[in-house]
Amino acid sequence: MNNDTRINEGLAHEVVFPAEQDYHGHPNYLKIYFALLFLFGISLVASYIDNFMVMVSIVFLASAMKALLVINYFMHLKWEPLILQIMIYLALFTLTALIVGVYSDIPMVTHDVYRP
Amino acid sequence: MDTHKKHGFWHRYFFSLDHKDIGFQYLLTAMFMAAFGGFFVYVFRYNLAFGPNDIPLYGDLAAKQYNQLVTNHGAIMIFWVGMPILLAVIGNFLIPIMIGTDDMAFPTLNKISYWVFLLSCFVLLAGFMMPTGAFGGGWTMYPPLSVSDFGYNNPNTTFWTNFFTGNTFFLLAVALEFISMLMGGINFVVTTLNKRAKGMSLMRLPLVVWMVNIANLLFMFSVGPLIAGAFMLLMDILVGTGFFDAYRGGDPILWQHLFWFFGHPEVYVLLLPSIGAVGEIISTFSRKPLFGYKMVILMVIIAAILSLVVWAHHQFVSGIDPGAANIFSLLTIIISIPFAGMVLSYLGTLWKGNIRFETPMLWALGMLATFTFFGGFTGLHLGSNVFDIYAHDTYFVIAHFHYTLFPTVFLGGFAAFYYWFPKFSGRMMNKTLGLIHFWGTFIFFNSIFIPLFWLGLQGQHRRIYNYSAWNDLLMQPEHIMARQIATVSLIFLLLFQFVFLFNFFYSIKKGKKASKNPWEANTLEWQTDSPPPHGNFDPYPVVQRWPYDYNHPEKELDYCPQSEI
Amino acid sequence: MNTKQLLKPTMKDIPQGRLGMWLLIAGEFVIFGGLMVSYLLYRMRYEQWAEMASHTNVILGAINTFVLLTSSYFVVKAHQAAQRKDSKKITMYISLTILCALIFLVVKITEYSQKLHHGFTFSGKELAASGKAIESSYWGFYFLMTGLHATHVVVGAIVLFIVMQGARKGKNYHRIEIAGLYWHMVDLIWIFLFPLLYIAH
Repeated sequence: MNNDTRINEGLAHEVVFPAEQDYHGHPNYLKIYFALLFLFGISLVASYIDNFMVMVSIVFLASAMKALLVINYFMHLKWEPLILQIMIYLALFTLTALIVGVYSDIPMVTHDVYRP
Repeated sequence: MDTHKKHGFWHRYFFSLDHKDIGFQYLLTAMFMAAFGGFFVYVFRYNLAFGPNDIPLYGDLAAKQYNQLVTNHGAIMIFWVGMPILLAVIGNFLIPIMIGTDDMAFPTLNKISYWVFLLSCFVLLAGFMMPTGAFGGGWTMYPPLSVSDFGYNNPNTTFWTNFFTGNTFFLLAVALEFISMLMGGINFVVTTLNKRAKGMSLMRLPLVVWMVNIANLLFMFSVGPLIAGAFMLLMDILVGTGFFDAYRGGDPILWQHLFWFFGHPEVYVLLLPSIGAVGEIISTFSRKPLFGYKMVILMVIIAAILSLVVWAHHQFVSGIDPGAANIFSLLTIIISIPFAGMVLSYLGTLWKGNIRFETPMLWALGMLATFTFFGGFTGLHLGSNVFDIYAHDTYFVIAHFHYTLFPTVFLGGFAAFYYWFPKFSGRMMNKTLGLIHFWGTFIFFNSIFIPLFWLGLQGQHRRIYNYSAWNDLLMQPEHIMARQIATVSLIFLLLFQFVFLFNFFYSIKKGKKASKNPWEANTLEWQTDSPPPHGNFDPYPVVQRWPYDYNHPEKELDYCPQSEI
Repeated sequence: MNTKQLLKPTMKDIPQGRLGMWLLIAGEFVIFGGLMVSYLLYRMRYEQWAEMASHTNVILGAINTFVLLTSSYFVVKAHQAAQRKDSKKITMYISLTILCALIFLVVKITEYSQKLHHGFTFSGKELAASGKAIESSYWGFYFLMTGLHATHVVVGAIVLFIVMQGARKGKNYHRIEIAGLYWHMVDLIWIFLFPLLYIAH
């Protein structure tokens, strides 16, 4: 990658974008906020559904979408370099691995313990 | 740039913001803790070989103290010797000078992370002065043993009596050490990503810089669930919650899962910087480019991701689901493939190279050989859940992990130390003493642990004070002889470390002055003075090529430094 | 100058403080994630916990969710103002964020006192002694998770206050974004805590 046009002379390392000038855009934050409130409302309404699996799925999905909205737009991850986005999603992968690996030992097993 | 006034003792050893000083502080602290770890193993191994009475330099050893020494030996060697030396010292000292910059991204954070580390050392050692004594439940802290005297099960305890116990202090020390390493990790990764010199693309980074960063990221992602679990365990001890208490609906197996979810990636966190340093050394002293640089990095990333999904091989006999055990066993065996790829790459580097058997090279080759052939292969054995049913919790496991951890921390650590000593001190270490140190350490290290493999297969369990309960099984003359060989070898091993200490402190003051590039290497740190001045470089280098441009018969010098035009 | 905005950013382009904060956030995700996973695993095992979960006050929880989502909006508006170096707007938005934090804490304290009043304590010893051993652990998780989260709310509010003071003196505007990232993380954790702990079957 040819970085010659973006180099500050005299420093140990290249500074491409000084802190005040930034490369990420500004979406319409108000719209995102209303989307968040809408999803929040959905999860509240969904909590009254009787079918446990359906309720859990809707609520979890709503939370995930809220989280993605906050991460991508409020925290501007959408505009950050791809490697950083990958790193953050890798953190989620580790948690998924944890649930999958432990699933057969905790939720699926009930130990009978004598409780007087 | 600094005004170069002479810094006093407190500045250099406590307050300095300079990454080289901080690396040195970590080194001294780790050596101090290693002395404790080494002393503890001497005492309990002496007990195992010759009985608990009148141990020289110690006295009589009771069973409770045996457990405390075993526990703290493990914890100290991993968290207070291995982690600081391989991550903090190598990372702090090398990263800025290898990427061609002046210091870390967050020097103050760096200083604070050392202070937190130092605090964690004191908290751990303070555990020995608690009324109940130090923690003695194994470095893995499994509940209910680690909780049994406190919390819910003992109504006579209060929060404060639970607080001033070895268990609490042990947990707090580990937590503080994690926080220190997390802060350091953030620093290293940001520095590597943001502060590289002109021309230093990611694919031109020296291997060891890649390794330290991947190790740090792996650490950051895997330690989270354990910190959560540690909070839960701490609350069980202090307050009496029931997170891991079966009566209260908790599950001790959950702790095991949380612990090993971190515990397994942790050993790769330790391994990566060490094997990265070994790669640098092998390339430099073979006068050949590192074979398959890109492949090695890809293999390491794959291995790091795989290491996150193999953890339950530590729990094969704990009562986990057998189907899950099969899957974990398969994944564990698969993880050997990327590491084999790495080892082959190093062998490819050595092949037909113009090998120079300098002291660092001996350590590096020793590390590679013992780690791969004894540590790695027996890892395949233990990775099979069937074999592990027989071998779990025996000395076979102890021999396996010492054949991986000792080469990683000590053989690789000494390799790195001897290699970069001229750079950070400006002097050469004495070559004869270095050879004596190497051969003494290498020979006696092997003679400690080979008998332990055999003893493990004979059925000798670990963490046991004496084997008098198993007269026919483990108290036959050959078993006693094996234990004694191991212990006597250990004593010699420890004695040879004094050779190193003498060499270290003598050479720092009186060693032969080192040139900028005594090993004729390519990486950026060898293009500046030994030791590097404040700011490291004057002027800052511009990188022209990758770091392994060796082997130029047509040129006068057979190497081509990274920043040379 | 404007051509810089069109180039795709690489890792060298992220300001250091922001990258450091992202790594810290990733680390905190995994810590809280570990706690949440542990809770989830037990929750799936014990139906008795569903009964305990119904004792959490959904209304107060919902108020807190609304408050935190709104505070996230305010803090990102403060960041937008910081890019324009508009000290007045920064002060207004961050003050609103801190106000939201205070409301959150007040509601939390109300909740805690309600629970303690009902006999649901952190250690759960009393509940366990009265025969509800399994149910008593639920409250250990409840207090631990919300307590740790509340600690982060307090720390975040303090950091935002300090950063706001700096901006009012006209310097270090870039810190608003970094502190804002931390605040968003606090909000994110609550986005998951709320359904986990409050929405019962």
